[in-house]
Amino acid sequence: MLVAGVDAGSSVIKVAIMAGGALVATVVKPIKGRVAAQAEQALEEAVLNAGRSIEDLRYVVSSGVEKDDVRQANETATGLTCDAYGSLWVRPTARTVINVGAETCHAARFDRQGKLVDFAVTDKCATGTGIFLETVASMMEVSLADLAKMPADGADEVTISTMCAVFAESEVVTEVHRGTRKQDILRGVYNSVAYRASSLVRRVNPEPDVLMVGGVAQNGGVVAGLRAQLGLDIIVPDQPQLVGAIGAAIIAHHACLNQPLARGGAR
Amino acid sequence: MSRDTRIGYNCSYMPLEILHSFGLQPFRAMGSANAPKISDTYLHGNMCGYTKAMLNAADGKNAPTMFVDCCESQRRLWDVWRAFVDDSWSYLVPLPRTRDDLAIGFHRGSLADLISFLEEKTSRAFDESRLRVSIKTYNRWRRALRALETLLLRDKIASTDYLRYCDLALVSPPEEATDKVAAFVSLNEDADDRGSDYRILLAGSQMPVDAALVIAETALANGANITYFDTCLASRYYQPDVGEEGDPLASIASAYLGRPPCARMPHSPERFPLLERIVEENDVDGIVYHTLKFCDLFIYEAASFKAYFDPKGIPILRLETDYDFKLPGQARTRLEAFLEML
Repeated sequence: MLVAGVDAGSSVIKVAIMAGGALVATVVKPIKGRVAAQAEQALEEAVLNAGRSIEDLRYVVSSGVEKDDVRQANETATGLTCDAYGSLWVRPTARTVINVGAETCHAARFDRQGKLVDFAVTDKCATGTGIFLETVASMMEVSLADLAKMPADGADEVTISTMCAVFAESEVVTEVHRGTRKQDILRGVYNSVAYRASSLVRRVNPEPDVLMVGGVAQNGGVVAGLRAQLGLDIIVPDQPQLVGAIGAAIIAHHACLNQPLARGGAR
Repeated sequence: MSRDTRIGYNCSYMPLEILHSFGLQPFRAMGSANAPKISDTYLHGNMCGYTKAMLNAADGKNAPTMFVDCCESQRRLWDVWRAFVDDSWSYLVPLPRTRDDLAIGFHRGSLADLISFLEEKTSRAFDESRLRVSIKTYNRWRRALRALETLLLRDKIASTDYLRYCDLALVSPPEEATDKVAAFVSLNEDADDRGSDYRILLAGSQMPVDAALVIAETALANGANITYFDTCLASRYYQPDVGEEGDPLASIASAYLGRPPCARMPHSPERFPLLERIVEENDVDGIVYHTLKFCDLFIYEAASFKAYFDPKGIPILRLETDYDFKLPGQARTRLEAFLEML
């Protein structure tokens, strides 16, 4: 029984294919062009990776900000619920998840069945998200992946505004012009992103284990900043950006078994 | 009714029957999504989105609008309106903050002043018998809307239909709206229950009908019907009836001040037990409490609202918007996640 979870974010589409409840293939594909076409391609690619064809798919659940554009979806679910199920799948003792994606950031606390207990979502603002880090990377003239590899062990001397991504960007420019060391600037940038994320996590009264997922979880500097500001151990699973898609696939798997999970939503 | 008798107003405490008795057609000003954004030129950034949307919709043109003194933002809008938009009809109806006999007497006096203003503007003498007819017309309108609400509370109609008919009632002549609402009600009176998985109560600040419809549609798509709206789009208008006997101005003052209050009134917590009764009697599963950014009144009330309902174990989602005509994705996600939590 082949099912798929499609997490259509604002800049990357993630697909997880499951067969009989086991993860058999994944795809992570940056969005270039129309989401509907990109999602279809990503889904086909993932099914091929699993050695099957698109006709074999029994059920598809989509999530993420562009979830309504995934035409193959039988139902949709919020990223919060998908992250909760995905987190439990990668770590059964998980009870809190924080997702810092390209344009949004959210935190959720859930019970052992994956049902949401509390959640918080950022407002319409890009500070503390992946897009902000992309902007910083371009100012440093490196790729986002290389930015994550750059040392950020500078002194706690640079303070970046936590109010607005646009203002924060101009502050980084000022520091670059001043000739401030890159590791000091990056420390300031990561502290700023972590500050925004930690404010959100505190609102849901986090319970261990706390997982960090989403693309930004691949940046060790942000994770370290979050650990320091929350005083909590933050666990980053392998391929953290895929956790939401895995959660969506789990919902699809249970829908196929006619065992709806403990959630509302379209049934 | 000709176009030049249409007159906008800003608050559900506007005494509609008085305007109607002078041959005017009052309509609730909601602002416009497509209007040029002129508000930042004249208003400080910390005014609420409703205030800004109203000014944007006027766009400096002749837009006859009357005001109720309901909050600080609306008073400042009234100032700007007189200076930059159109002061031909701008009038501020004072609104007491209490509802004892003294307040009702004061409000009666304010309504008499409003009548003097309307006599001058319309060149028509006040006619008490005409006002009595208008009171009856609006009472019929209220009864039709209450019947519509009863169907919604019983989950017999979708919240989207209810909102569309309330919207029609707030912008059309009351006679026409009453007929249309009554026809819809009689068509659906014997309808089966919709069998919604969840019933939701929506309370809080003003929001555009378009945004309320998106909230209602999102809920419906997730198996939930919003079965009660404690907002200025709906319920504040139709309870109670205005007394049809005795001094009509005293009856209007007493009915308007005696209605279930909104957050603007200091006795607003008195409506919490009323809402609790609605929750209990109609199997409401959760409450969405909407606040408009910079709406001091509802943001201030939000804490006591939550403190009242939290111990009763009723899930509450606090949803803040900026009077967006198109509901932002984040607000939709919050709503969907709340429904998934129930």
